Amino acid sequence: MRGWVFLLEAILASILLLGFLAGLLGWIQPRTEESPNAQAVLIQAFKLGLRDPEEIQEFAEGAGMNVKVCIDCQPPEAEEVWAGSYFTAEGKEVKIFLWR
Amino acid sequence: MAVRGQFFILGSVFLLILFTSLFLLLPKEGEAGSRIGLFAENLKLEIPRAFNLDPDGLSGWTGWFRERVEERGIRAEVLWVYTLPQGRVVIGNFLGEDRKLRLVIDGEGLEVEIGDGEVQEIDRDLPERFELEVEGFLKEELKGGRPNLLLWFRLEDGKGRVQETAIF
Repeated sequence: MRGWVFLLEAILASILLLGFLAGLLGWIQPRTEESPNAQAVLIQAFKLGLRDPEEIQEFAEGAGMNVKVCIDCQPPEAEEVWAGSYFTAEGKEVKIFLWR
Repeated sequence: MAVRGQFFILGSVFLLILFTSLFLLLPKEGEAGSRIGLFAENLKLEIPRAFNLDPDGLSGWTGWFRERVEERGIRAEVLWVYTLPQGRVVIGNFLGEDRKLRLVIDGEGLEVEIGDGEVQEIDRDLPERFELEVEGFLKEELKGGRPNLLLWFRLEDGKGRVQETAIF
């Protein structure tokens, strides 16, 4: 019976430890993740013929979120950022970052 | 009785782990499809543009696009053929391996061996109207007096797949 108790304690301790590590990693690492929704905004903009990052930024700002559209740039420092990419014929990767 | 209680606790913990794992592992409905669907849109929007910018640069662009997509865990297979009015037929293989392809131009077939990421060029007079086929991939009736670009591609990420042909 003591064996089962130890096993149970070990499992619970592992879960707590994993949760703690996941929380710590989430806190340390910037939370930028690829989002089809962010990518869809870029596709829509390019379909409308917008190609300049500034124009696309203006177009995307209507979504009610903070927006950064740029080429070869880093994500903004925010708690949770959604990112999308679009690859142009000129060989540039246009990135979009959305955050609250 | 106390032992049975512990079994229940242990069982519930295992079930909790099992359901959490399943929830995390199962593909989220629509997400994978839309992700590769969006890259497919990107390809269809930009490849004719890259072709118009410089037909000779299309090979470099396709290779670059494939690398960027594969960095995101998506397997990309792309094949295109373009023809130019001066009688140039160019076929590009980005299928992920060297291939022997059978090209049929206006009923006349020829075998072409193309390395992965490479192109093969064929000089041939093109009539005003002709049929172009890459067996197993594309078949289309085209006009010889203008540039034509035919595209076949498949994007796959283990959770979903998009396969399409397009003519520009």
